[in-house]
Amino acid sequence: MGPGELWRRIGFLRRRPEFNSEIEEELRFHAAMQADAYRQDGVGAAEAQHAAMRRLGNPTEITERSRDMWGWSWLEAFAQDTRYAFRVMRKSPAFTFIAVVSLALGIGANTVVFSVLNAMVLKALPIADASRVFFVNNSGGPAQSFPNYRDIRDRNSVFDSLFAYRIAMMSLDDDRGAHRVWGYLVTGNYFESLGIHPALGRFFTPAEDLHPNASPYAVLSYACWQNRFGGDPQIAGKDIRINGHPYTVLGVAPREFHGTEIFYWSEIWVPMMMQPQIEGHSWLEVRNTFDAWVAGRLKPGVTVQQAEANLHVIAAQLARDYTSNEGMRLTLGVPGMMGSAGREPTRAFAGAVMLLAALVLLAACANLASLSAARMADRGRDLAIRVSIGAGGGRIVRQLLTESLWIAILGGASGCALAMILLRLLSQWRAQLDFPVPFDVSPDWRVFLFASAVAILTGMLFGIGPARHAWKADPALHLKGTAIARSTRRWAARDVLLPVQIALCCMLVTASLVAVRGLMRSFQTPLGFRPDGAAVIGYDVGLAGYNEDRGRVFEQRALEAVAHLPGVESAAYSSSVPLSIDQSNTTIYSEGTTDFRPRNAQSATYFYVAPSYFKTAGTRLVGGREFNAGDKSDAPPVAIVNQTLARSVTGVADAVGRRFRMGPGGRLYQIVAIAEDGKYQTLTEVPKPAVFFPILQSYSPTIVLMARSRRPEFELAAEMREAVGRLDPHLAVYGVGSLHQMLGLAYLPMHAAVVALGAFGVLAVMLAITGIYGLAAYTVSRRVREIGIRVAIGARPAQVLRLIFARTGALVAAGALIGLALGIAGADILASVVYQASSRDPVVIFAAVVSIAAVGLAAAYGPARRALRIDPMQALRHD
Amino acid sequence: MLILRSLARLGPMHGYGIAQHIQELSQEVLQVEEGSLYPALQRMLIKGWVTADWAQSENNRRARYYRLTPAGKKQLGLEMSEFDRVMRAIANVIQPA
Repeated sequence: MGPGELWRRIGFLRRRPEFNSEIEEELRFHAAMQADAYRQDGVGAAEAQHAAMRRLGNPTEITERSRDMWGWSWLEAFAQDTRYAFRVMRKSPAFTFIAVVSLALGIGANTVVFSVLNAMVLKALPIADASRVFFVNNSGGPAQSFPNYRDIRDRNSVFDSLFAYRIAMMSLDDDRGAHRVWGYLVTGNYFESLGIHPALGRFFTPAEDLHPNASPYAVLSYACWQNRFGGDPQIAGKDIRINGHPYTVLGVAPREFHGTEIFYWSEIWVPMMMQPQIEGHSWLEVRNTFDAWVAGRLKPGVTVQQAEANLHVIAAQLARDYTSNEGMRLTLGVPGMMGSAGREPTRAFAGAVMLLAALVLLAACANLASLSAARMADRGRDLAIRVSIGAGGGRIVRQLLTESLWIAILGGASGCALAMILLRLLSQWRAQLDFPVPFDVSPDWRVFLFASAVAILTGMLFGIGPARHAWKADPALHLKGTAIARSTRRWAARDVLLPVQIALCCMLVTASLVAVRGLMRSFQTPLGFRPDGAAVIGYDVGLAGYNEDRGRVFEQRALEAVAHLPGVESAAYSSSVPLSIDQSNTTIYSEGTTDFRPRNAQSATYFYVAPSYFKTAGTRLVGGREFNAGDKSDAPPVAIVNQTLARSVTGVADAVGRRFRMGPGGRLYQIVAIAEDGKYQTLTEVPKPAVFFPILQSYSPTIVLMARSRRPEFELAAEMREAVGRLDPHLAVYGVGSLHQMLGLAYLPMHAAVVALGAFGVLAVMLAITGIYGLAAYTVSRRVREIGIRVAIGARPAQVLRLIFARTGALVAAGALIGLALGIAGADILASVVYQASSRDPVVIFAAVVSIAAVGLAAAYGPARRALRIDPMQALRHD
Repeated sequence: MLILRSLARLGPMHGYGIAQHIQELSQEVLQVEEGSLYPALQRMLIKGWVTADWAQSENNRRARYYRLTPAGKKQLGLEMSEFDRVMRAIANVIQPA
């Protein structure tokens, strides 16, 4: 088809309305000329007219065939079907409403879930040619030591460039004072490897990798530049103060670039060589401190397999040369979520939620299919008439598919609108976390593509059933009215659809109940400390430029100031608190160990804590004494271990008085008390070893200051902040609030799971209600006449109800049982995400049964009332 | 081809005229079905071989006149030579030896 032809065809659409009349006029002219010719041959005028018309044949058919030539008949048929579909939808608003709403819910849920999945797993980082940039996992985890990084960088032959980065906290001064900001320490080749270009100024170069503390430069994020420095166009080359030291701003990152992790938006980048100054201690030359993350851009043409083979060789060399690298495995992963360590669980979780969403959509489809199957029977006569006046089977099927397609489009559009609103809310939501976690789920083209594909697919899916039904129907039966009697006896597709749908809904309801119950219980889980009543603030004296001596003095003064606040029962400080983001591990050896290879070591979470920490945190000591002011640096080294560590490192539960060694060939510590076990990194963890050292025998510039009182935590925390602020106005204080708040991250996956499941549970219930309602209402309306007769000959209300709902009830019950079983089976999977989720919980099963029963009753109430109100006299006149 | 040829010979002409023309020239052997003529004319409009305009006919009726376009002339040439080839081939086959 040439372009000219295409244009002419399209041009036809514009003058389509005149087309018929033109052709008809042309044919009239033709007939008139013909008649003239006949008259000239001597035929009478009327006779000539008739003959000419006969000769011409069927003008309508000629017109239609001429019209078909233009190839738009499908469009016209579609437009016609659409007009008809809308007429039908207007005529049964209840059906249309239920159909559109259930689809909107199903498609909306799917769109939201897909957007989140898209944002988390599918979208690449905003860097050039992102598919060539890979994260280097170290034995399944993300962290690598800096000397190892240098060796891998220099020895590999597969990376164009390999860079290291680390999330770092800094104190940045702007004209409103010091602020704690989150940033990155990066090697000089970081920006170049990523292939991004500065919005302003320039980025780092490998020249920044040469000497520790010799490159006081910084790159700002676009947001930081705008918000903290007013978008100053002259910012490049200006000096700013980080941790009290002068740094020169080299440039500003582009607006869309927030660093190389999806869930962390950096405000500032500083060369890795400044690490000692930023963090106060240096691990740049320490082989066994694994604090850097490594990623790089593969050389053109190098495959992942080739790269991993090369890394395998290097890992073997490094493992041979250094004991701390024993068992090292280097693998590649997609960057953005701590390598594979973060991406895999996230993907699994997102996939599971997506599956749930698909189930909801399936339930919505089943719902609609059964509703429209039910309605089809009502429309049997209408269709039968159309068939008997000559509509082809194909034409009828197309008509029905058009109807479902339009319902799907309407449902899809409202679902999308719903999803957009939800997503906007989600994007604005910020987790109450002491961490810059963005949640950018703004939809992109993938989401829209997904939503429209889903809408069209569902339209087809629930349209096919009724269409098939229509195809097979015998018009004669319908016209006689006998088809009805037959279809009530036969098992129709809708009899299967309803239990399937109920089963799906029941499963979702059970799963969400299990999750909610798990959440409720997990709030009662022994954490190993009591967050209620504990107010906390955090600060880092290192960021304010304090050395150890001044830091100790400051910490003591801050503690005294807080302890004297009204209502404070006890106060203490520590390097961190359990279940907050900031957790560190150390290696512990039993006293007798002489072979310090990693396999003989115990990894334990450690905390530096001040005297009366355990009292303040509400951690029970099962034996021994709390640290006191006497545990100073000149006293013998002591420690408190938890029950798990006590057993594993000394072999006995009552380990007070025994000793252990920290680090390979490190110092021996005497155990002065045993603390109860708790949760340290995640709520779902099995009991893990933990060790507490007196902060007076060690030093931490990062401090969490905690006070216990009977006053509201927020009120106290604000006063604590003021008290500490009076001691040093330039100190950036963060994390002001309750201890509960600091635990936000630990609860985040569970909250997400519960919110998602709860939402799906509610959706499922709504779908179940519409489904049951639809079928029950249909059953009643089909059997009005029968009910009328039965009532007339004396049937009691209970008998009427049994008659109508016996079958529906049985179907619902069957579906509910299956769904309950599935839900209980599926809940085991849930237990891995939601702590304390157990399906063998009588409360859950009882609640699920009750809620399904309630749903069934609520849905059947309306139709039942209608059935009971049937007036025999009217019913028998019906139809 | 017959329609194109008629238009080439007659100049702009309405559907009835084309049908009459073919009938006369073929001495009533070829009866042109109206049911085929008008769809065929539409097809030619799509292909761009003819254009159509409304005009007054010889006896003062409004009629749609079809006119051959350059593309139509080219098409006619193509079809004529193809027809020629086939005719010659048939003639060769049925010629008494």
